[in-house]
Amino acid sequence: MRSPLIPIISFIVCTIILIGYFFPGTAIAAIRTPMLDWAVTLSGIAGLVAIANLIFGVHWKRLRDPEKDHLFSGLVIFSFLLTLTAGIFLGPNSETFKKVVTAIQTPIESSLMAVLAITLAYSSLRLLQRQHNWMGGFFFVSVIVFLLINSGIFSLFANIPALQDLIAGINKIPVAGARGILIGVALGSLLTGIRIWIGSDRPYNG
Amino acid sequence: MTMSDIRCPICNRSNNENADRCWYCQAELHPTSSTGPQSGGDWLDGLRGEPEPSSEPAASDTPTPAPEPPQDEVPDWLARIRQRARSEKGFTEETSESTEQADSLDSLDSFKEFQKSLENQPTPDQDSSNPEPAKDISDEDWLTQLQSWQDQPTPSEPDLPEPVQDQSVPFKEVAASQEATPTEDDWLQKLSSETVEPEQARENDSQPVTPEISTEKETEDNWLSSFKKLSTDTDISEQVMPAQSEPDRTSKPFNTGKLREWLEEPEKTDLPTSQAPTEESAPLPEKTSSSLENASSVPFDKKKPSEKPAQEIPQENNFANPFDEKTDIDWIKDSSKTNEAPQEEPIKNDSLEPAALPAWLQSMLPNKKSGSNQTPASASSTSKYSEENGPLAGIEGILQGEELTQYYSKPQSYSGSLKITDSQMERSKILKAIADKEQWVDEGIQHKPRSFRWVLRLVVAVLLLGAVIIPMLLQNIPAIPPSLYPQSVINTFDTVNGLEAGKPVLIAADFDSSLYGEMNWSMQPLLSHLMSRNVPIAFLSTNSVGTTLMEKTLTQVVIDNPAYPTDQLVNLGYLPGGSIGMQNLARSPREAMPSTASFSPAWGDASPLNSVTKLSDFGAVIIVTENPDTVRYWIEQATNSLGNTPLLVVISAQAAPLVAPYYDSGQITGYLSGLYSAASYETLLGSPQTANQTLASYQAALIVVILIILVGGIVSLIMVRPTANQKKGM
Repeated sequence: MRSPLIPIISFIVCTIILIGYFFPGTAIAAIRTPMLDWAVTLSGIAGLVAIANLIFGVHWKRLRDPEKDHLFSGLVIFSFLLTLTAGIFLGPNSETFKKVVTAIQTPIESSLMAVLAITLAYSSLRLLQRQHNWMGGFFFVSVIVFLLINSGIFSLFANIPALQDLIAGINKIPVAGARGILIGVALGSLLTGIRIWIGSDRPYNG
Repeated sequence: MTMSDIRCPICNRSNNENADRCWYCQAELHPTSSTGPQSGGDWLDGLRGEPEPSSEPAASDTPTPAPEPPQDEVPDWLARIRQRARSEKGFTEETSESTEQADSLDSLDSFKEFQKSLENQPTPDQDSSNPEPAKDISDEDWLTQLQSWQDQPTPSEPDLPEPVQDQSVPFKEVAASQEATPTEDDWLQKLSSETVEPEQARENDSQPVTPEISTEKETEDNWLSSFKKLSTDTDISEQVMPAQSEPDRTSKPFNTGKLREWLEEPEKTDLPTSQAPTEESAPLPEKTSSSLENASSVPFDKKKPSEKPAQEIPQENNFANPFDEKTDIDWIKDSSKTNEAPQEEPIKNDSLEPAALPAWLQSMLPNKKSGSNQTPASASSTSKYSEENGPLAGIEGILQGEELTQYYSKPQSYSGSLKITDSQMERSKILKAIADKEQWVDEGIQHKPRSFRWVLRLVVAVLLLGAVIIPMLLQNIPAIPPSLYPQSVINTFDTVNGLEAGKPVLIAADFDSSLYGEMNWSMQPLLSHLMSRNVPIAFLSTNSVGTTLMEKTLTQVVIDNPAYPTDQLVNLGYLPGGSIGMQNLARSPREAMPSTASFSPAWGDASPLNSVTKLSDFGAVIIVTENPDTVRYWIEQATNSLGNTPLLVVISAQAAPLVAPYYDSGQITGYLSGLYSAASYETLLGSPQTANQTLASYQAALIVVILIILVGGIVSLIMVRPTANQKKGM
């Protein structure tokens, strides 16, 4: 049986944070504030640990493994060291250092999104080929309708009296689905928080 | 110990020479093997010379030596021994020429020398220098001995005379001294089956032997064969029998039950006496036959044993009742007759008279046949187990070990053929008939056409790129201006339009680089509106690259709004901790973000944020993100701290449906989703700029995508036939 010390500490901390959330002006809030600062600091350190694990725990091991490809792991480590060195010596507000993001990272990621857009367009071409049933047909019609609405092509028919109300009504349809999703997410988050609070879930045990 | 005593191979104690079993340990003094041809008889078989009475006539090819009348000075049994020896000599010469034993004789020539040497040894009556006069006693002396024995009290275990423990004679010597001449076949066959060196045999033969024993060469075969199975290198007691079998035999020597068992032991041989070749081939004298027939009727004469000399009485064989000389020999012969193997060489000497068992002994026989003294059938032998092989050979009454057949059995064999029932056969025929009717062809494998999918992909890519690039290049392609403004866009516009001058707004730039293009176009109208109103802007990001991208966008907007002072822009940098950092910021902005990204005081007097102490002091909080979860986090963590401060969201078009519920619930004042909302905002703002310039490309790309989907869907409806599962809808 594991030691109950950690679940007890977790329960106490959760209780303090929760009470301080409902009573911001009390002494509990004074205790809650440094706890949140500690948490923020720990999260920053966790980021450093994650980076260290990525470099030394994954790619460095691959470099030492003769059976695995060394090219991309070497590139990752080289890029990391270069960026780290530039960030340390140039600083985050350096215009040269900012170009690492604006001139390298952003075009690459934007290109990936462009490829994704073309892939989705090509996949939509074969939409009914794969799902040749009423559900596929309904999805097919929905895609066409919402693409037309978002394109603004209905602005050509703005003079039609009920058109705006009709478009507004159609736009409410996805909101209904999204609301259901969000309610489910909210309930799940609430339940997860309660489980962690009472010690039923112990993510801190690893 | 007299010269006639023999030593037990088990306990090494002296026993009477007539005893088949040791008095002390009940081990066979002449252990035999029931499987071998020599194992059938004991050492007295040679003396016996009387085969089982057989209905068939005796074989005529084997000469029957004429019996010699016994001498007056020599007892009958001794005379028969001598006669047996002489006749055996001649018989050996004849039998050695027989074809049945030719091969064995060739291999055992050396041992014949040993046999001859035994024959050349002087007999007791020939050797006058024999110091042992025991065998020269007359009939009267012999009977006197029996009489004196008869007068002795009944021995019990404590009163038993101690056997002579003559340890000076080694085992080999004792074995060699028992040179009763065997039957030729048994003798030679036993030797052929063993690896005794001829030199060793001569060595044993050279040992001093008594003249008495030298006259009993007939008995050597079985006697010696029993000992040749033993190894002289190790202790005999370890090879032969355990010691615990002794007390039961010796404690009650006169126990009737034990005696009965003892008498039944010879019956344990597997072969019936009628099947023994010895009985078939050995001639049976008329005298012997008649004697055997009348044996049972002869009463036991107690006077004759009393006349035997006392020294001839066996010391250990106390339970052997005395009887006349004929009875003595025949009794032993009868008891051991069944031990004769079927291949045993027929005994030629028929001079021995049939013995007559005493009435009391016959009454003890379990299967005594009336009117004859034939060997009783082996009835009780089935209840006992006699070890036949191994170091315990000859020991009776031992516990029988478990049969290995109880644990090992023949391995089960599995047939390689398929066993199917009739119903299974019928089903297989039905399945085969169904399969034969169907002509199934895998079109994807056998008729796979040449793939032109890469061409189709290329066409789609070219169309999309053309739809995006051509309107941007031509600039004269008119876009469809938005005339239907979403309410969320209107509320956003009104909120920004209602901000107090000089009251800063906080922008949380939480977007990635991948969607920076969309986010850049979507937030530019809003930023331009803020700058037009000279609203100080402070921005931060929970993303590591958010502030950099945000700063790039602001730089572009500032270029479009040159009147806006750049010192109104405050870069707070990266906000760590995710949702915890948001909560921390909502609780106390100054503590959460004490300095700018350039490590200058963010909340100083010179800063446009000097009037802000809490989150609600901002004129508005604007969240720019492509991730709806980020919006949810901000709403969850910062709503309570905002107060009346409006919360605006600029989000990607793909995440707009997930933000709409928050807008409907009032947690968000307004939001802009995608390029079309930005264009609408610009339209409301009255200064169409970037969004409207790219709207034509946006609309053209959407129209191309709609056409691609329509064409693909129509082709699919026409070309592809739905399957059964697709018709069901799932």
